[in-house]
Amino acid sequence: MSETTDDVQRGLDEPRSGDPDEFVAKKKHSLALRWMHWINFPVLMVMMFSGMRIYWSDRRDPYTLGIGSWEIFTFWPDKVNSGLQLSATLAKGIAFHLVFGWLFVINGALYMLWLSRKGQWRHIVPDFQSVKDAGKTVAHDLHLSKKKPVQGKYNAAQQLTYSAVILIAVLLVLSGFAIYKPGQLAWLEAAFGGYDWARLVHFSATILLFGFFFIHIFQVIRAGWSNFASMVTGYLFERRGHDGVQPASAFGADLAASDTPDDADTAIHEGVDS
Amino acid sequence: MTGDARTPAEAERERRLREQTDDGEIISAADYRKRSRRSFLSFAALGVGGYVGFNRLQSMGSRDSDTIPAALRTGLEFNQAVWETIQRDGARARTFSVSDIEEIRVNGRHGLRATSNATAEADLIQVSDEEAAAWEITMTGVDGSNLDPIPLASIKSDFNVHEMVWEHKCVEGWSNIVQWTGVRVSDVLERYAPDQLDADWGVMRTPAMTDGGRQEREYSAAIDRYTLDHSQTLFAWRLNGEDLTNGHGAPVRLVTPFKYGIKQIKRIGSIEFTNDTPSDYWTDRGYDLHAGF
Repeated sequence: MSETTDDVQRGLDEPRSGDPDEFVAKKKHSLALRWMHWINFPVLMVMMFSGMRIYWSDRRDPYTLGIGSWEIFTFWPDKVNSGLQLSATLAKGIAFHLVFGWLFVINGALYMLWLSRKGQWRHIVPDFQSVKDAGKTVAHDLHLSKKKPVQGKYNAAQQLTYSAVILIAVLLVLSGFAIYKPGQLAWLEAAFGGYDWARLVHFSATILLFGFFFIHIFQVIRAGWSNFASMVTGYLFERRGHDGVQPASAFGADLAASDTPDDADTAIHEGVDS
Repeated sequence: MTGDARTPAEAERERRLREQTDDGEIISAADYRKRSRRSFLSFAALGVGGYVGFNRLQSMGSRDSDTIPAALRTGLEFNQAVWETIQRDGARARTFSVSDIEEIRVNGRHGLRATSNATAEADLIQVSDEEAAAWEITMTGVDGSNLDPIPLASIKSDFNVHEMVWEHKCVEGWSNIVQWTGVRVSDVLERYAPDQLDADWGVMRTPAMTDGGRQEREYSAAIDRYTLDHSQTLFAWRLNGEDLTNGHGAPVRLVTPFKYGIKQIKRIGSIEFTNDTPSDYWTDRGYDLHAGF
């Protein structure tokens, strides 16, 4: 049991010296998924940056968060504009946005195809049980509960989050096209309730995606190196004989630090608590 | 026993979820190191390459002139090719009722200004009533020949007058619902330029006028054939029921809900028909040649 505890504290990044065979690497993310994941990151950065240039070309009526005349936050503070040097770059903003947007669309379409054709959607799409379980994952992540979430490739909260992100991306693309071609796609513009609503949806979806991005980064850092590495190498480094996949935390990353076989884990808790 | 242990139902669910997942091949630690090194090197190379490439793209074209890199211009042309392929002749922009009409500000004054950076209506080059009454739009054909000009008086009296309410959209992101009064460009060109109906482009220009000693740089807008032919493309002389002010493009301007405002040229003085891909005021400054919806 002390051995297990050591592993927990030490992490599983490196095999202990003199015993190289104790660790193996297990395939986790396919090459296709890794490419799609890492293409998405810079493409979204470019889309958000160029989108900011477009958004900031007219500053008369910025979006604000608040109720009535009480404004909590205005998108965006002047410092953001001066910091990013957004002034007088509308033409570039539009050009980057309308060209790189295709990369996002193509990448997203390939991802959907991959999800459906490879059966990978099963890891992502939540069922009713996942909806009920999501709260437990969050409670565990917030240290309100010691109980580790039920874990497939992803846990319940991850399933909900990743599915939501996919929906947000679809909404982003659709509202984007509604804004881009309200003539040819007048029906799409109408589906969003008009041009102004399409713009608001496009902007709001971006903010949500931006929020996901920060939570994702935070969780990846929390989950540790071997989880991050698995998105680069495709393999998760773990103990030989370990049955099952890496436990994970909510919102996007696996918690390598808590990786212990289930029975041992249960034993620890039982030992401590009873 | 504590609440931290798996219930049988949870254990079963986890087992099932992992079964789906568990297609992972297993490799030795040594193999992993080899592959890992390769993966990270590729990852780093792609990351650095992407960053350098983006920065090069980003810095191409001078910042001040707001022009765009050739690669992005190619991208915009690709976009146009895509939309030309799927565009429908029957497409109509959404129209609104008169009660939805909003005020609209004067935004672009290019080609209208008497003094540099003039913003007040009084600082724009004024078109007098006499000038307006005698106003003509001159035309040149694809072969460079001069065509008979279109008198504004004829535009106002010889064609079916339409009042249309739609959302005027600016490339800067704002929009207003406005009503235009005018006649279809396609009706006018059918009568005045019947030989030019096959021309791919009509490049419209604001006339070079002098007032107060300064000649404003000429404004121009290249309009593609699809838009020229469109039933919602008008030569307009009234906005929200009032005759156009100088700032809004008196005495006659182009309006269409199929283009951003930058294409809806004010104070039209001439049209040049051409089959060669043209440029215009804002295209020279990095904007999309089509800027269309």
